[in-house]
Amino acid sequence: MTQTAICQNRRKKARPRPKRFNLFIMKLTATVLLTACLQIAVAANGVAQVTLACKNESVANVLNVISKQTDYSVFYTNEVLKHAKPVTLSVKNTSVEEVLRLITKDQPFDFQIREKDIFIVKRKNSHTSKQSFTTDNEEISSLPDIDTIDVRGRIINDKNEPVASATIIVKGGTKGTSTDSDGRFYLRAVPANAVLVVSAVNIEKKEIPVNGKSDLENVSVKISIAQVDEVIVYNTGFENIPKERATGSFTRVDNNLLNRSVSTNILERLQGVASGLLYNGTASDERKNISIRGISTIHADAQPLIVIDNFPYDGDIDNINVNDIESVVVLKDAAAASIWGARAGNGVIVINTKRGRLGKKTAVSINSNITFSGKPDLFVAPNMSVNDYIEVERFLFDKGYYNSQISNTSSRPALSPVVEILLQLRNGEISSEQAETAINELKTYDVRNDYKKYLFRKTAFVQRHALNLSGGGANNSYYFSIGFDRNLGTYIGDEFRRITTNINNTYISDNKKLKITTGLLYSHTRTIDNSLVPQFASSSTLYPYARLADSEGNPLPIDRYRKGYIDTAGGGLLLDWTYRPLEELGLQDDKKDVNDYRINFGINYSLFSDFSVELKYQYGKGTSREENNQSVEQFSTRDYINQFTSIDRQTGNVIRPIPPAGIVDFSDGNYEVHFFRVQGNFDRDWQNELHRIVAIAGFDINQTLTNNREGRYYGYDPLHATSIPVDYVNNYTHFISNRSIKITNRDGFTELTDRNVSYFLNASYTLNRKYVLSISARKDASNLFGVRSNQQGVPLWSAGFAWDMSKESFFQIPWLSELRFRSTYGYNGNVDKRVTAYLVARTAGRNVYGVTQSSILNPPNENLRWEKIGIANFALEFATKNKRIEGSVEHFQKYGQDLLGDAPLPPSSGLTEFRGNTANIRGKGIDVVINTLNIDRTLKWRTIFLFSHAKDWVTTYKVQHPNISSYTLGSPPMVSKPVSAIYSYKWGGLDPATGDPIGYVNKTQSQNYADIVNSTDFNDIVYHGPGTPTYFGSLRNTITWKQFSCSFNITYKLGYYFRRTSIEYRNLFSRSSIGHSDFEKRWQKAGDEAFTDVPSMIYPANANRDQFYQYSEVLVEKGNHVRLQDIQLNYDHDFSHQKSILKTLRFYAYATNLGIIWRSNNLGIDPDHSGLFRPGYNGMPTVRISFGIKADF
Amino acid sequence: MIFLVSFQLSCKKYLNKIPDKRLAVPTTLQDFRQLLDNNSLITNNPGISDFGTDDIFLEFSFWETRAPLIKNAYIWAKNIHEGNPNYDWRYAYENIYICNNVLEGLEGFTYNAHNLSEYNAIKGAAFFLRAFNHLNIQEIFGQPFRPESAATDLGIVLRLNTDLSQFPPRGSVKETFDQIIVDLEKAKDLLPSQIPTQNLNRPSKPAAFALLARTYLIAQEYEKALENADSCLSIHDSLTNYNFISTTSTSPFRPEINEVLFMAWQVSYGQSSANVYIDTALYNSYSQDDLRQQIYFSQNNVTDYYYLKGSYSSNTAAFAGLATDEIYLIRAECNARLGNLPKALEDLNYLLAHRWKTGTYTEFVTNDVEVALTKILEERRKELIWRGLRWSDLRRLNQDPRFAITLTRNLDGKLYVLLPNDPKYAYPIPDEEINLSGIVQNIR
Repeated sequence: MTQTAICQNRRKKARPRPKRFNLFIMKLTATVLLTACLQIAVAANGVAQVTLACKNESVANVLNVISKQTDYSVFYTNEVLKHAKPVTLSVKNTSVEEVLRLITKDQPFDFQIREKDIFIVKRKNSHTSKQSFTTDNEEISSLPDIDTIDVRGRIINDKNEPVASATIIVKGGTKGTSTDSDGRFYLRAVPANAVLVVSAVNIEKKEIPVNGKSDLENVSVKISIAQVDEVIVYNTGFENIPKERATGSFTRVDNNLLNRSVSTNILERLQGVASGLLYNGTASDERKNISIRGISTIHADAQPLIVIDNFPYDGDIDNINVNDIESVVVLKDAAAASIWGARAGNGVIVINTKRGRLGKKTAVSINSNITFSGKPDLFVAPNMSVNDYIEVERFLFDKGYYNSQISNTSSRPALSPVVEILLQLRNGEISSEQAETAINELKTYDVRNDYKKYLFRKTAFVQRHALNLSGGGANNSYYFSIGFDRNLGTYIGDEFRRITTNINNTYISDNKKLKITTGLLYSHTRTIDNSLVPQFASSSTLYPYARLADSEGNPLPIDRYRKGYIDTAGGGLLLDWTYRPLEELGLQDDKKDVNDYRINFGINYSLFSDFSVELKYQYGKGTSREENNQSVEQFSTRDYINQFTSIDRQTGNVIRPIPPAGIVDFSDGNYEVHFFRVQGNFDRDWQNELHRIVAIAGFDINQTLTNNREGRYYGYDPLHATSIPVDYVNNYTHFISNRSIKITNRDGFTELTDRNVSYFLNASYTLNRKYVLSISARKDASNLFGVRSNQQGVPLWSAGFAWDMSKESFFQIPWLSELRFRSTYGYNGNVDKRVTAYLVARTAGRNVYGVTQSSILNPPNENLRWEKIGIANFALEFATKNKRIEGSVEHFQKYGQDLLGDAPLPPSSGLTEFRGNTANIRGKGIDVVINTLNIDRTLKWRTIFLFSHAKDWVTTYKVQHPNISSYTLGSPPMVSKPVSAIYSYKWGGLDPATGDPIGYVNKTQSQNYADIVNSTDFNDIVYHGPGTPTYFGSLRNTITWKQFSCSFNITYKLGYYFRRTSIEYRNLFSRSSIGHSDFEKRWQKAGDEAFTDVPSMIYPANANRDQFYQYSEVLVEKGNHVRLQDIQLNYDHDFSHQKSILKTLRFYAYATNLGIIWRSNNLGIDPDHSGLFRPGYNGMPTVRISFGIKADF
Repeated sequence: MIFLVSFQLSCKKYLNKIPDKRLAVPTTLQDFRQLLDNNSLITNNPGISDFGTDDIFLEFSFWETRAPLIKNAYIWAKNIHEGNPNYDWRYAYENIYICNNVLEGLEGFTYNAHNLSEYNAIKGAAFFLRAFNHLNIQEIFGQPFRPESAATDLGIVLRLNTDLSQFPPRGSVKETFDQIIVDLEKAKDLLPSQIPTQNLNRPSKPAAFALLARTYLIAQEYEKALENADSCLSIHDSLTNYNFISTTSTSPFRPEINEVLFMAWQVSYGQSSANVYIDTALYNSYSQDDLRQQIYFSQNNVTDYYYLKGSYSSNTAAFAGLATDEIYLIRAECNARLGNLPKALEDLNYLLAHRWKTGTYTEFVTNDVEVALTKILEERRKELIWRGLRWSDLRRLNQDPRFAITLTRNLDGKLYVLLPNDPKYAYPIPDEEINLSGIVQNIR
């Protein structure tokens, strides 16, 4: 049966069921559609009269017009019209019947009208028909000769969902219809013994014998196997590539998987579920956290490109509501990503938002969840004990270390309480007993207890609510959503709120030739940043026995200037100069509002059946305003005003160049982006898909304008919204130091323009559905500054091949149902916009005389080229029978060419380093994905195993740094070593006599630390390995039993190293660190060297000795670890059997930050958070638990 | 086709838009001026050499906790850097790099009658600043100028272009001075006569004469030094009367002081720290009526020693520029050396009359040239304290047995000695420079 398509023009809408809820939704829908501005309404005229004139028009078109002008539906098959002759006709207000008679005259078909349905049927004994048809056909399709009945029914799938737009035809005939959005259909005059054939996308074809029944309520059809998980289509941002035609390497994360975890940020949800994607989890910016298939650049931007709804997105990813996202596709190799050209070097993450579907009943979904987490664990940080800290202060005091601070009258630095006590003792102001008592009391405090008590929320609390509504009719589909998120973070005073909405609409013309899509995404976020913790975390000078409040909870002061000085300094004429941190907590007022919206418009028109032209436009705009309102009650404001105050001691006149009122810092940002794309799509097959060519080509032009303004208002009065101008020009005298100072002018402006033009081509040829050949090419050009025009652009290309072996006749492996090989090669690009071919200067504010100054941004580099990354990819996809085991194995090789690297220059050149195309790197790796269905009964058990291996090494680097310290402190490229290599100084143990660490200079042991750190002999350093994981992946098990499902994910990262911190005496003494707990393990007496590697404390500290120890072999640890990433629990209740408006209800719970299962270091350090394992007031995040409910209507 | 071609053309134009409004390929005079007005040229000038002089002393407990550079410079150690970068060296060449970029940029610039004076002023400034930075480096890292061996002694790397592929070796001391003088001669002709009082960082003709006077003085060409000092003072001869300066203020000088010919600050190494003490004998050598004692110094309230508080930078940074007091002293010294005793004493007395309390100063009178010279050199040390000049003076004056002195340090019982004309009067070249360009290191 080659004939399955039933063409129909049906204008009758499904009769609405008058239900209150539905009406509400309809109204809502109408509003939404109006907002989206694209509901193309067609008014019905209701008159069964036709007016038309045509010449040599096809019958189909004429019937179409008739259907449009009347409320009749027309049913026919293509077969019937196959031999139709063109129609020439002119009628005016003629009845339908009359018009049809005219049309069918001399045609091989006839018509019949039943109520409002027109059936075009084959004419009996047609003399024009030259084809011979079976008499059966003739008989069945002739109406109404046989005993017929009217049949109604409803088609549902095995999930009890109605199947909309399914085709129902009478087997062997031409009569047919399709289901409405509720899956219902109605067929008139069907032979009582007929067999109905039900077919639709996503379901298996089914035959239903009518057997004289006129009601076939709830015919269940099976969702086709290929569709169990949805049709796998990779959206690259330019086109949809079905899995069968893909040659490149894609990872798709579908909606179910995205919704497995609970978080506000989409990128966080990719963690541990997307193959080849490594989440480093230490940087604060999620985008920087992600690497796709290892490292591809040394100094250029290493972030993957993020694409949302066909266009790159450079905004804050936090502006996107996760509930609006349908799927995420990661483009990993050249064939997949080269369509993104010069920005694809680090891989591409394509995010597609949800859209409504044609012919789908309005569905409403509500998703709400809350997340709790406890106070972070502050005691994870390896801080030195308070007792030890005080003993060190005492030791330093005795050495005279604080004398210069004590005698400093130009800035009056604060001394710690212990030093003040010791000074009083030295000055004979107190007795030694008094001093001891006071110091012993201080030893009982630990400021971390006050932190926990006063600065952290008891529980951090996050709520996320989302509602969406989608559906579609015959010509139109829509999607509408709103989302609300509120995060009350771990710090008191921090809050994040987000409101998002997404409205989109698709219109398809009756003849399917024209498709118009529109969309609007809007988000508003407010970030309130009133916490004190960041202030403290950065000011490590705070002594560990500080107290924020007394035992009654009253705020206590912490000295910012020398004790006593501020009490008498101004003779009572200055603003209060004491700093009481806890009072500040209520005074902070720093908030940031961001509005972000994007408007999409797309139009696609099929010029021919195999060629369409597409035009896409996106307009995006964002505004942000940050305002830090520092009232005069705040210490920083009082302090700044006092610094400028001058007092005439004779008259008592107080002059304040800065008014004693608030100070407001503000920063306004705007961006505006236009994307425009014209694209031609070609898709044609010959000889029944023996050959198929799919191609796209077009160009893309975009512009991003960014401008920022920032500044400061002095003398701000919030009551009347006024400020007072100050004098930025003249010098004032600093109250303490008497130096000439100017009032800070924070006015700043930035105006950036980013313009890009690209041409692209992507084509694939498929032979016999078995062999696929693909090519792509792209040329990018941008307004890179200071680059010769011919270097503004770079051409990049790729080619690929795929072979579906399981479709070969010789493929005879009974247990393997699918085996597909694919391979690609090509180039992606990367660009560092900071490097230029010409000398570029940048204005850099004002100099000490208030004149605009500029500085040299870049030395010129005439030979500058864009970085190119060649990628070869080989993959094998397989599936066993019934898909019990399926998966893929991919192998890739990377060739990074002309990567930018730094070459050190002798300082006499005027520069210390030069950035140019100096390096080539190689990389290779494997991505393995294996899905297994271990048990498939009432209890279902699925396992998904991801394994990735990515290693890289430098093949060429034109420069060598002379000094080994360049390699231990940083990690400049070294040939044959990975880009992220970790090196350390060779360790020779501790000197048994002094506890001094022993290093190597020119292969011999040495304790001359200056010589050790300046050695140029590369034998004196040790190479450990890469600093980023080389083996990583996850193991996810999902167990489903009845309505319950449980899933837990175990992730692992292996094959890398990290450096841990230890005691650094110099930083401890200078109070830039509060001291590492390794202090306790330090060498103190001969023999200790057998138990410890921690060097003895020496005075004065030696920076080179500290550096040697900090970057020595003994502090490098293996990073290997296995983590229980998360656990998810679901309970689903299905209401669709009951006649309820509620279809499904899901309750879910999710837990993350569950900790490490195994790690190779035995010090309890979490390598993903190694930054928190240094002395300070950082907290380790605790378990995060979420509960949620999702309801679908 | 036509569409494509026109699209291509408009594309070129579309892509020529500057991505950041603050960026520019420097081509206009304003661009070049902005480069030379960069703070780096004002604030980043050498400051280490004073730590090696006899003007200061450090207590052991303070010294031992200093950074290696200060610690080692203070005791004239063989290796002072211990692998650390030397910012005196780095910054000077960064400044020279800016000057060279401006000079190269100006080569292609077509000036007209309208902008000729500005063109000349910028070009002159670039030559001046290149010479100024070269001389600063020479006086720390180059070997001292000795007339008899200047042609063979090692000077410094002379950077005269921006070519990053060439690393020239060190020139001889004579070549170094010749180049500095060539640049200054050009600058002198190009620069405007007027001192820009609102922008004292911008060089002027009197500043160029002043720097020439300083250069010739170091090169012991006293006639030429005298000639240039004369030329300078004939254009600008203002001296500040210290009776109008607050003696109690912890920051007595205002930035707009009229004595300054050219403003530059030293890199801050903590010169004005309350624990970097002024040599007690030097402090006591100021008379009670000499206002400089109270204006320049402040007392540490714990140890009772004195430290530097006031400098013409009006800032915590020490002054590194040029002021007329130095030029009066150069003229006085040159006149004394050349036997013009009355003129020498006239300048000396004129200067000191501005420094002492009104009515307390009695003119210094002598017929003995050597007595006059000794007095002038004493006053030179007292007047020009913490300006990076004492080290240079020690290098020069030690060559004359009459004025040669041996420096000593006593730290926690350990004695360090620096003999006159010791090779350690040239600081070692930073390790990173030696490693990367392979130039010859100083023998110490």
